[in-house]
Amino acid sequence: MHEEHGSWLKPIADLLPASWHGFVDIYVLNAWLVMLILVLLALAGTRRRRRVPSGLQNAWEMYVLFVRDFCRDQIGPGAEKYAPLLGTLFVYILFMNLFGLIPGFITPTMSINVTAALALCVFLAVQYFGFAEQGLGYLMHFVGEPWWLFPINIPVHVIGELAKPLSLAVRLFGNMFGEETAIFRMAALGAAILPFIYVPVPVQFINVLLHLIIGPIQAFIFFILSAAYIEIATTSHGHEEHEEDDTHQESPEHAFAPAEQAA
Amino acid sequence: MGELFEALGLEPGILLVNMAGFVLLVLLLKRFAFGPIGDILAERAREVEADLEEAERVRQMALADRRAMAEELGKLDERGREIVSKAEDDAEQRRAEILRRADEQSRRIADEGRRSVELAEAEARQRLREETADIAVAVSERALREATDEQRQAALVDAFIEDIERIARKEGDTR
Repeated sequence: MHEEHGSWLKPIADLLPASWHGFVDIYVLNAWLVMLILVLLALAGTRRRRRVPSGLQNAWEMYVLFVRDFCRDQIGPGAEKYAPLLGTLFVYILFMNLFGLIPGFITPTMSINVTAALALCVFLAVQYFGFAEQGLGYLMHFVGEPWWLFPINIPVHVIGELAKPLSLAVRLFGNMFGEETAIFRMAALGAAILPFIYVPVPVQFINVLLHLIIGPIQAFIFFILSAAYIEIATTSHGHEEHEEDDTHQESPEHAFAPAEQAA
Repeated sequence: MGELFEALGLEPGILLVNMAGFVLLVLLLKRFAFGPIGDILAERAREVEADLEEAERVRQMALADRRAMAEELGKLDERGREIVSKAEDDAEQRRAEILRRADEQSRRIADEGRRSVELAEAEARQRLREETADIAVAVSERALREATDEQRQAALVDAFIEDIERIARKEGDTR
């Protein structure tokens, strides 16, 4: 990939033993760097906690409050326990999406391995939370209603459940890969026309601005859809119930419908 | 499966490392960000709640104090009214007493004046009577002693009348 050669972490990747190549690539290194930055920011923000917050502590408090309020509003009372997972997911994806804008680094989320890993984590967490909240009753999500249609419902719902991480992973990967590729191509175009116009023109500038918008949006979509999946899995009123009741507007699917449509 | 992964560009090893990295990041951020910040927020919520409770307690105390003060003020007001009322009654009584004494004193002074006037008048009448008698006796003695003529008798009578008028004038001036 073109970004691998432009990354400052490429020499480190080259130093890795051959046995590591199946586990660590340049995207993983960039993702680890993002993780390191986030952990350092967390440490810096909470090292000396003060009664009246300021600086990084203030930012972290605002962020944690935002995530907790979001969980409580969208998933329900007591959903603050999902805040660490969802909050980490959002800030991690956001930083990774924007990381490629720093010269010398690449966007880890333009690797399907990174986005698929995140989507798989969400998928496994959703299944875990579903069983933890509802026990074996969670399986009724797959049986659906009427129950005697289970031979059809179960495969359909299993496919739907598996499609969730797939859609999460491919959506994020496609958007970020497309954006990064567009920026790279436009930058290459700028370099190509330089011998003719003698003035360097940042033709990729618009794409960079677009990336600044799309990066947070994609992170938020991943975040909000993950919250929706958790909400669907942890609430006892299955989506089958409100398929029967069209007037039930507070259902999880309805609540998150605009986000899914937007995604 | 391997072909599907390869077609999608997925590498199981890298996938697992990324998943492990994400799980590790969740744990680290929970340990260093969400946990401590959650503790701070919870502590602040407790403090705010305690402050609100304290404020409510102080407000209730202030309300109780205000009620007690209003009650005390009412009592003081009542007492003040009683004092003023008593003072007015006392003043009224004293005024009546003073008026009564003044009236009595004026009446006594008037009675005394009237009595002294009557006494002086009686004394004056008595003295006039005595002096008139003395003059009459004196004139008679003089008339007998001198055995005078008519002309002289007339002069004596005139002198007697002048004496009487003089005494009467004198008495009038004295009164």
